[in-house]
Amino acid sequence: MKISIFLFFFSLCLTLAAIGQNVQNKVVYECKTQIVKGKQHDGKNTLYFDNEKSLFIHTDWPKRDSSYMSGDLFFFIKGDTSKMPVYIFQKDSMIYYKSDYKSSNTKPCLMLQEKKPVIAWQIQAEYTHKIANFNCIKAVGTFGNRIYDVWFTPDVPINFGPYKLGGLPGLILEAKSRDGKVYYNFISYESNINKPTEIVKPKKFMTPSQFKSYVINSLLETESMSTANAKVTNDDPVSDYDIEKDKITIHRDYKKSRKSRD
Amino acid sequence: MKRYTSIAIRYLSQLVFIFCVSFCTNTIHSQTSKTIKGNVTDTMGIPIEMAVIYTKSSIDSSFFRFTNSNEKGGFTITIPARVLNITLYINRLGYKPVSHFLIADTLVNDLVFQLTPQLNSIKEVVVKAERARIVEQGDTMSYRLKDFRDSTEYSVEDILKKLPGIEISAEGRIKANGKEIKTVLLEGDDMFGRQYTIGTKNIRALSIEQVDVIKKYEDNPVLKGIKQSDDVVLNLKLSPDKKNIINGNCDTGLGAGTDEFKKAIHLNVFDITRRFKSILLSDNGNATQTLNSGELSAIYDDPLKEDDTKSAINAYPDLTTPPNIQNPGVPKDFIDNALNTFSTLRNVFKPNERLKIGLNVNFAYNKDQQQSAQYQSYLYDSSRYTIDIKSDLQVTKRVLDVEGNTQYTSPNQKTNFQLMTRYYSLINVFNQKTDNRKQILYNKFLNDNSNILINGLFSQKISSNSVFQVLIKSQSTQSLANTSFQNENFNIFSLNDSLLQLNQNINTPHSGFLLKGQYIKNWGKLIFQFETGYIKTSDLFNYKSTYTLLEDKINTNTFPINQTLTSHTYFNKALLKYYFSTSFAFKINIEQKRKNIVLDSGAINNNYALNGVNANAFFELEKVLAGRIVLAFNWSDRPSENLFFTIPYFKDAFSRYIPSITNINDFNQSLSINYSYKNALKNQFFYINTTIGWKQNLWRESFIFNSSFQETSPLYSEGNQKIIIYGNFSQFIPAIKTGFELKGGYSVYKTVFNIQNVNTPIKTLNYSINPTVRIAFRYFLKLNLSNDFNLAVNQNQLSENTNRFWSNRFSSEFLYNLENWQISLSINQFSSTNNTTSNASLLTSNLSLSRKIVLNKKESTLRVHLYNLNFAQNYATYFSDNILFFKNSIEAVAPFFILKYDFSF
Repeated sequence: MKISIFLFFFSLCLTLAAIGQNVQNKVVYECKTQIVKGKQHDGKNTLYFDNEKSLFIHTDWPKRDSSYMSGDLFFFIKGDTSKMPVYIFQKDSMIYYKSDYKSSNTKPCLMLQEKKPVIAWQIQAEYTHKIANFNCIKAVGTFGNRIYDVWFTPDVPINFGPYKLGGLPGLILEAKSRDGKVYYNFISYESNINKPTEIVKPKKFMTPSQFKSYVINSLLETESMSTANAKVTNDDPVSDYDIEKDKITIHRDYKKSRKSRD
Repeated sequence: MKRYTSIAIRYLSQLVFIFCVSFCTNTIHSQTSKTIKGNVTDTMGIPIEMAVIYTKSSIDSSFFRFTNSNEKGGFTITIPARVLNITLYINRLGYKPVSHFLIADTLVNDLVFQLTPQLNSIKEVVVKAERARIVEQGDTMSYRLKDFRDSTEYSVEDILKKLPGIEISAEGRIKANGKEIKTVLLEGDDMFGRQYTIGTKNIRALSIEQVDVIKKYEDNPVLKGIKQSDDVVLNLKLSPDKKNIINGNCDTGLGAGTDEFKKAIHLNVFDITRRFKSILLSDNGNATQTLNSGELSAIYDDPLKEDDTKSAINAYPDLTTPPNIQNPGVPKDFIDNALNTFSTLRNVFKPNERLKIGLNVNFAYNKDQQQSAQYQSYLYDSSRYTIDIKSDLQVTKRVLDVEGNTQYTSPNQKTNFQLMTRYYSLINVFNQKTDNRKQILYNKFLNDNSNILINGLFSQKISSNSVFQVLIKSQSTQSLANTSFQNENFNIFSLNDSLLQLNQNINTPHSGFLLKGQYIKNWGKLIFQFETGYIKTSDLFNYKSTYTLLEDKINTNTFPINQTLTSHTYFNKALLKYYFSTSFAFKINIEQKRKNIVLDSGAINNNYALNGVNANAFFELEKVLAGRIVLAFNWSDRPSENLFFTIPYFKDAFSRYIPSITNINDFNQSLSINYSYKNALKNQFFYINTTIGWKQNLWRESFIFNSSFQETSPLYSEGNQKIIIYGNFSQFIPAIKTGFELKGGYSVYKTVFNIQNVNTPIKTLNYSINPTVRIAFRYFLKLNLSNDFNLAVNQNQLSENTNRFWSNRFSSEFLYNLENWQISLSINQFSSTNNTTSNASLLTSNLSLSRKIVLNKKESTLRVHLYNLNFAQNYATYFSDNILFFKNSIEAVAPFFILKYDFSF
């Protein structure tokens, strides 16, 4: 009898713990950008989350490699079957995200690790707004060198949002950068989804220092192809290349430090 | 002493206490922030990490602080000292939220909050209801079509009808926000020209992802930034997966009816890349839905207005158009037994940024047949005479149309050259047998029409703000018509049972030449445009008729008529536009024209001239107000009375004087006053129109009330007065996805006819009411009900004769979607009656069942249609102006079924 009671309470505890932990929810955004790499980011984006972790994927990201011409410029799109995920783990404040930087038809995408950005949000609680059935509050903050106006809802008490945006006392439903280059628009929210997506830390990833070494090595490899008549080098992507403006400045910084060393 | 000391110590201690208390209080009040600490656990006392804790003040709405609980469930939140009363909210996903009201002075540091798990977490799905379905950016308004689809639309036209702000006429011509569009682009390139309904009626809706309405569109790169275009175009955008690969869709079917086999194939093929665009649209069979080849024979041209190479010089009157199959407004497939073959191949090739080459080939073959009946009743001298006619009509039409165009722009975009050549051939044949019980008439008609156009436009930028253009057009048309007419039992000339045969040959070759120079200068807000030109047209009218009374073959006669008409037109036009802002413009247009016409018909040789000066002032405050004042004075040497037969050639011969003022704003309120006077045939026209209305978005309610008063004097009558009152109320209730619309109208029309020198006043009253209900209850069920009721009363106020005509049209559409199945039923019923003849009605139906199938990850649809299962009856329409009474009736298509397979590739 005692064993039965123990088992009952044990299972109840497990159930409660399970309810508290593993309920996974989903929010779908529509992303519109005017950045160089916007074509890949644009379209539907999906955020899966529970209390402690989240997975953001670019739902419309192509699975296969492709290319297109815009004007006289040639653009390569690195396909990714995992849809360029962004993992955020609250406890250790870490982000793991896939990047197509330096990828090619022979080189795969890189999984990078970085610290979760701390965004100094200014909550403007006097501005409220209803998106679908959610009561939303406005907040303003800077992320990736862009100022964002966002609407978050305390009705969904988690710190996540589209892409790497987060850190507010509620789910971010809409975000718009003031330079008009990035816009996440709420489409739908689904709680307690039937088939939860597994959100686990990637086994292989590059730390920021490893990534820096990788980029510098790649630069040196490129520069080694220079001849007496022609100098070959790599440069950083243009300012509006990605969602995060001026995200990668490794080449510039390295060349600067190299020059000062010389 | 000790007592005093103790009293002093007591007072002192009290004083110290008061001091300390006041000091402490002051200290507290002088602090800038306060701290709240607490713990969050579950009901078992286990700490909860990552709970969201935030505070809001009921007094200061701008106040908001938040934090998260740590791994021990603890939290610390700091609030400004000025905030007195706050509410603390503790929330975590999967737990019931908790709130706690705190008074500032009683803040404690050992708050413990127990969260209760939500045991039965209900699945919740929230979808944003109001999405930006329409995005307006500058001069472009984009509609995302997926938000407007409901699976009932077949062609692009069907989905365009659902877009707010877009109206489509019965012929398929499109207006966007009240303005007629110039053309429809496909992925930014003009592939249809003015014949755009070929595209909108034949391209399947599922291929298109987005529609852009582009205002101020200018195709010619040299004119961009100099000539402020007022043109509006639509741009159809394909879904991305339909670019850079050959793809398309095919809807094909086979079936059988009570009288013939049924077949249908509707094909769309696209090959769209950045440099090369090619589309093939084809619709063939005798049970097709959206065929549109009629556009191929349409000619749009006004040489004074069209500054591009895509139109002919001048339309010539089509005296020989065969009768069309009658259609009382029912969907074509219910009443038309036509066999259609129509294909159009359209290509645009851009080898580089400078050169654009287009080639279009169209072919159409159309064979229609219809049995119809006509009942005519004449009221004359208080007696009614009737004629009953049965007619058997067969119409065959064949069109071949080949068009090539080239456009070159210099690398510095200062020079542009366009060349268009077109060959067009139309052959019309119709055979008609008419039996009016007294006579049997056989009528055979053949019209062979071929047309060659060569047009060129040269544009040169003279400076950064001025352009010079030269436009040359030449056109040659051959038009041959043959009619033969045979009459059995023709009893004229008192020759009973004789047979009359009449043959007519009409040959009307036409040629034209246009030369126009144009100069445009743009000073920013002020634009000046001047053009001068010359048009020469030459028409030959060669008519020969022969009649034979077969009974006595000696009586054969021939009447030849030969006329040559040559016109020389010289025109000058100046246009001044001033833009106060991007949305407010004022324009003045002055136009002078002189047309010399020489008519040579052998014995008679006539020269006369038409002259005209028109001044046109126009202002437009975009979306708010538009006004126009037109002053025109035209005068002419009037053509001789005996040349009345050629009057259709002289559309410009009537003089006009038309001032008009029109205001219209976003609230559908408008006032327009028109007055015109045409002196050639003493035609006067006076018109006042008022419109009031409102729209509001919350319940999507709109109301439009329109009233007008007209006084006209058309041909052969005088003293016409017409009052029209028309109202339209519509209401959409979002909660139940149901829309109601009620239209009603009343008009009274008084005309005085002069019959045998007796003035006969006829009064016509019309009443109409049209309620419509559209229910889209969720996605799976749709119901559209519409009813049109009309009552026309004609009163001959002299004879006190009254005719009443009732007509009613009822249409219903029912659609039910379930997973991959769809069932739809469409019923159209028409009935009409009057107080002198019998009733008539027509009931047509289409029952269809379809199922979506996924094969190789591509969706396809299998469906079966059952048409007119009710064994359709005759349908009759009535027309009467009280003197004449017509009743036309046609037969619906015999019942048939067709099985269709619709797939993409």
